Amino acid sequence: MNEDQSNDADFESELRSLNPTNVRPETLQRWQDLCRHEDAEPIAAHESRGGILALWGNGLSIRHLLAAACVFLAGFLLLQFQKQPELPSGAVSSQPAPRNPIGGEPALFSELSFEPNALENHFVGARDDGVIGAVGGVPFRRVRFQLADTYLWENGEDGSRLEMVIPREEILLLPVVTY
Amino acid sequence: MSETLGRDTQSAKQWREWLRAHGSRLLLFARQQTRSLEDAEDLVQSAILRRWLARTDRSCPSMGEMVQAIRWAAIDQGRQISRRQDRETAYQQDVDLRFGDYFEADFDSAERGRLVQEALEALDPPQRDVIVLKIWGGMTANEIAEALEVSPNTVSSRYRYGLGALKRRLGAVLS
Repeated sequence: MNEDQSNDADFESELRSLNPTNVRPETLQRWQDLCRHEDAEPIAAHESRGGILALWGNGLSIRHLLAAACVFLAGFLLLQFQKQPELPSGAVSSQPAPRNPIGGEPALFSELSFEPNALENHFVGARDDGVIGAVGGVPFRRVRFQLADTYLWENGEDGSRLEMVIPREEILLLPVVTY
Repeated sequence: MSETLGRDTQSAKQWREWLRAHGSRLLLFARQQTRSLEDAEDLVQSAILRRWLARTDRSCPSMGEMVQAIRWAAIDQGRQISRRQDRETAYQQDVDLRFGDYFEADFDSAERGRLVQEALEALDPPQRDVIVLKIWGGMTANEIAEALEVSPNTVSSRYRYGLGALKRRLGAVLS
């Protein structure tokens, strides 16, 4: 038994005495150059922001941003004005909370007269990140689907339109079948 | 800002030093995952890029993390290669894609290196991975188990069987 172990140790030492081939200088240089990008950010943050930037590059502009901001502001004000008074402490009611009639909408929104007109989902593109992990020994690949949800409001009085585009990313993890 | 930049510079320098020290081990492991030296270099490059971009604490990777990243890159590369393999098989049959030696060779050790390489290539791939990581990667059984996502017992048995097979083939040469 001891002799076997001793033989194994000798054999391992013999194997260890062989040194793996050095990396070719140009290859090592190429690898090391990968680590020179000091401002490279962690991959998750980089990629999720890249999706939005890609959408900006595909036609979103400051005009859209302002439109989206206007819609959000209008929605926020609407919610504030519709806020209901709280029930007295201990009171229980099975009745639904009363809602303001349409005519009772706040002045700002009714004056704008914008009405929702369309909602569209645009498929922008897909990005395959390749195999990024394994769960229970099964490797999986990550695929990102980039979409743009477009909301359109129209003002029936003056024909003005308000469009808001929200970039969205859906991430799918697909198991990889190995043969 | 300058403080961050300084830390990054130091981190990048440490990474480059780490690669200089461990590059040959990584490459040897990558060689077991693919058929040619160039493909193996690409695997290591993919793994480096993945780990470098994914770094959060700016520290150098462990050997196990890099081994894991190389395995994932190999799976990815294998799928691409298998698609082009059918097209290339016809005229690659006579070409030995595993050119290049696994080990540094001087006058005395050249023949030994070649025989060990042939013996390694004859092993089952799972046993070969464990042997390479333990003997030349300098990793412990637990580290290998974590990197290969198997149990330490599996690593031990693969090592035992793999080493036995190598001994049977090389015993007379190395002793």
